[in-house]
Amino acid sequence: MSLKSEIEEFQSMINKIVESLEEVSGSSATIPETAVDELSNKISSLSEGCEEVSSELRTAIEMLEGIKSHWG
Amino acid sequence: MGTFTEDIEQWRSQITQLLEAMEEIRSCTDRLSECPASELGWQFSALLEECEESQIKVERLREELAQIQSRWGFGTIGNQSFSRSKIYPQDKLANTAVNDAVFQNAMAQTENYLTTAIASGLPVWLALELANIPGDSWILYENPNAAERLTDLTQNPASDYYQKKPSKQLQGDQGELALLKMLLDSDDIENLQSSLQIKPTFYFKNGKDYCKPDFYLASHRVICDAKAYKPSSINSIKKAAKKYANYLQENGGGEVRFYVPRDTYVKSQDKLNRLQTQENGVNVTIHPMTIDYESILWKRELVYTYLQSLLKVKVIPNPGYSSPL
Repeated sequence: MSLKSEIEEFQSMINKIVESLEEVSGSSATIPETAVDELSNKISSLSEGCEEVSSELRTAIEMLEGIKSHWG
Repeated sequence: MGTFTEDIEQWRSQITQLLEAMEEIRSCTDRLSECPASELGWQFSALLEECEESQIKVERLREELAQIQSRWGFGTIGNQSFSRSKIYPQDKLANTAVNDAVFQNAMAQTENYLTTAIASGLPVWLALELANIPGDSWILYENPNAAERLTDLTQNPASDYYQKKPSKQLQGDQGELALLKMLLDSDDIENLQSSLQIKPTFYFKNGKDYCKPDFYLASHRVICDAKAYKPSSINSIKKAAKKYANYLQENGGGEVRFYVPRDTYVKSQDKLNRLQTQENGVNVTIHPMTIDYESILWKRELVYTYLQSLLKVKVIPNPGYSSPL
């Protein structure tokens, strides 16, 4: 794989992370309108969203480490 | 403590900040294709560090969500009731050798503190952390027996002796404390307490150079060293590893174990694999602590605040470590 393709792959992962984070942020904006008995589910869902972002960031870090060791 | 809405707003502001940081990373990534080849290595390193910082932040945000959940009663901890247990200073404690009235009084006071703190609205996790601070501070800075005291600071870090707060040292101290607790909690090392040396000084055969690891288990010939590092600093282990391994090689072999914050360990697998070596009968391995990097920073501030509060209420009869606070 060329440097260009590896960078493009990394770029698309970063785009994905930004989208996931925007979803978490958007979802958290509706907390004030959430019924009390739904708050627990809401918070759990936000936590899962953060977990997904964390996992995607881990992948991005691994990709970047790979690029760095090949081309850096 | 603020309201639920304030807690959520604060949490959301951190999400916004993280989003801004990720947008910045995205902009940098988009500019990579225009970057001269000579600068690519530097750009990759900078991006790597920013991604690692972001991952730590998102993990912290998850922890804070759990804390908000327990604080406001829709999690599992918030619904528990805490009644006082039956610890009376005048009675013997069952199944334990701790019968001394001084110890029992201290334990009863901790119990009172915890009950009061939780009843007044402090979240349980925070009450437990605060209850540990005086003990942690004593192990680190106040134990009059230098052979058992963890830190090599000679004064209270919150005193005027230090014109600038010794943040790095305080951070390292928290790592060492976490490691000491792990070692004392270990099931697989027999006779640990009799063989554990704290901050020993080991001289090389040339008589000039020396090394000073955090702990040495003489019975197992194991050097244990805490490194409270974030992922981007992990390579600094290399220098210490070489020195400790050289000392053990000179003295019949052994093992070197480094301990890094749990999240640093998880996020630095590739680097850690490169740092772990085996030379002339000395294994160098790296292990996770039971605590994360951000928690170490947080505890560092907590213990520093505690030491400052002691300086306000205690009179210093003589400068020096015999009565530093």
